[in-house]
Amino acid sequence: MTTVASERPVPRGLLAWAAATDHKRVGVLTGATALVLLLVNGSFALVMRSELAWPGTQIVGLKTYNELFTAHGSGMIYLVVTPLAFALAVYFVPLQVGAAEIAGPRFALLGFWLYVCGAVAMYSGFLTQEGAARFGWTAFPPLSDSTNSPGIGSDLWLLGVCLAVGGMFVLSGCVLATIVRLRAPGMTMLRLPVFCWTMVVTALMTLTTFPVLIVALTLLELDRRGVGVFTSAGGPAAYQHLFWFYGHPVVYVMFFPFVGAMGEVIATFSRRRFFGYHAFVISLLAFAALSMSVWAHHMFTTGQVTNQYFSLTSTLIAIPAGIEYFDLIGTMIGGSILFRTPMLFAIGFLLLFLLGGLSGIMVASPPIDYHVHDSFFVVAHFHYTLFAGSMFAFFAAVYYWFPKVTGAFLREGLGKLHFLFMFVGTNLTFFPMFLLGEKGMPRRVGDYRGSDGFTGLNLLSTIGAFLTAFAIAIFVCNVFVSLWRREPAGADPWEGQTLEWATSSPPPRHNFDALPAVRSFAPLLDVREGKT
Amino acid sequence: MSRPSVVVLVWAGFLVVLGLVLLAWTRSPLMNGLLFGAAAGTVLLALLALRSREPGRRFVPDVSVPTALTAVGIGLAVTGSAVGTWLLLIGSGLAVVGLAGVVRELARA
Repeated sequence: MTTVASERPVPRGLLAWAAATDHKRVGVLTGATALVLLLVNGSFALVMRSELAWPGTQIVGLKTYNELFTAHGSGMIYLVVTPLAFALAVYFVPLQVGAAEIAGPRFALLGFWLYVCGAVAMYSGFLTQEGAARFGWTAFPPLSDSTNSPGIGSDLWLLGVCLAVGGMFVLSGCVLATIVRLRAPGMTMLRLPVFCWTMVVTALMTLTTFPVLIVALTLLELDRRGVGVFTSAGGPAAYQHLFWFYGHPVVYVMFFPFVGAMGEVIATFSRRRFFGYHAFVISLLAFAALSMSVWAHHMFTTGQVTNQYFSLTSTLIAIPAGIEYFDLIGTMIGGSILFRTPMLFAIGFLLLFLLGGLSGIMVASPPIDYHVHDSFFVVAHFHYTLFAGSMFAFFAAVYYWFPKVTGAFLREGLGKLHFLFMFVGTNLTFFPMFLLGEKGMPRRVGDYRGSDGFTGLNLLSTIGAFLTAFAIAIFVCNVFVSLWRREPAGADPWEGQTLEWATSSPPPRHNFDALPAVRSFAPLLDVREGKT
Repeated sequence: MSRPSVVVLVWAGFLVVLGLVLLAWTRSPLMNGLLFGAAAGTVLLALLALRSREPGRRFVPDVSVPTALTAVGIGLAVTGSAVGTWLLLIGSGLAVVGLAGVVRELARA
């Protein structure tokens, strides 16, 4: 161990948390902030779904609806799912590589606060006279220019996104530097746990694509102030290239960390070593590289891109994705599977993400994409990947690592109830959207005609959204109940395989008093099997 | 693959191959520039990883108020560029004070 933390007593109080350099506190702060924002953005979704349950405007006007879907979409991507992924990484990567600290602890703190400032700026648009941004999370010009979207709310949104994305960029640098510089003796790259490997590729994608978005949004802001960047004939398409060069890889930034967490959960609850580790690593690198070269499949219908290339790369992604699925399922085969709550969510992730992934292959084909572009089919597709996929995996990770972070178990009964309602609610919400899209319902609309034939499916989807909200409420109750009446967990309650389980729960400031020898990617399993 | 820089270079290699395939379809400077730019950035990261040495023993403070202050200052300054000069100035001031505090912390360590 090369980096040492202060051995003084851990400071207490609000400031000790707000200005903490301990990666565990920064991770908890980032995760807690993102979870609060999940509730905020989720409540926006409930308002939108209520509005769409029947034809006609009942709850909010169209202007407010546009503000809500912009805040919901951008909030979930920039402020919830990406930060949740980095919260897990900031907390667990140093522990999994056997480090006493994160690399650049001050930078990690800086990243967290930039993220918070970005969130405040984005939402503060609701307090302005002209209202918040209402051009969708993509902010395409000319819709987002100062003529079509006047008002300071849009400027605050643009600058807020830059700050939040900048914060995640800084956090990703810390995570990657930790893996590069602070690994414990014996922890070679090919002995990194699968979660750390997913964070390596996530950080590489973040470091190479997030600056592009910051540049694009800064240029857009300059555009709004009359500089004239995207006002030429090819300007809007140029913006779309810059945006999607960030916008597609970020889908995998919101996916890979959770796949890694699933790898840990599935291996632990199958009582088996992770299957096909080396194939998984290579497929991750290929997957991440391919995902950098598919951005223009979002632009098939613009006629400004080479559809053949982007269709080819988008379809090729199915190969490394298939290898990863194969590894996850292969880990379960022959194992003695324990169906605890984390495992249920992991299996839910495998089933539901498959629907998101397979519908992704469909829209990777330009003819199908022309048919369903900007329809509810696309909304269903990305919600199956980001909510049914990533959020299920996130909850699996929370139930798995909660005992490590707090020293107490989450309640198993409430967890299973949470899973049940969430599984039913998620499918009821998002599956009808495939059918709505196929029937021609456009996305980003706050109303439709009764004669369109969309009412029944929309009502079903709204009922599903409230069931999902109920599931989230159960989770929140579970957290409070479990922290209030604690069931002590001990250092290694699940018989974990990686180094975070080799220290107390919660870990001390300096993470480890002693480390076992690292001879594979599952050092604690080696100890249990007598291989060290 | 046992060294981080090799991993990063392998990934850069993947990007270069994909960029070359894209070249067969289009010579768009923007599209090619994005992909090859990312590859170049990745090579830079690999060089950084190659140069990286194990850090020496160092003191890490439990709490760094100046760091948080710097971030909030940057946030206010950036937001102030839309809200008004007054917020821009307050934010910049906070950021400068925060940075000075960080420098002081580093000098003490």
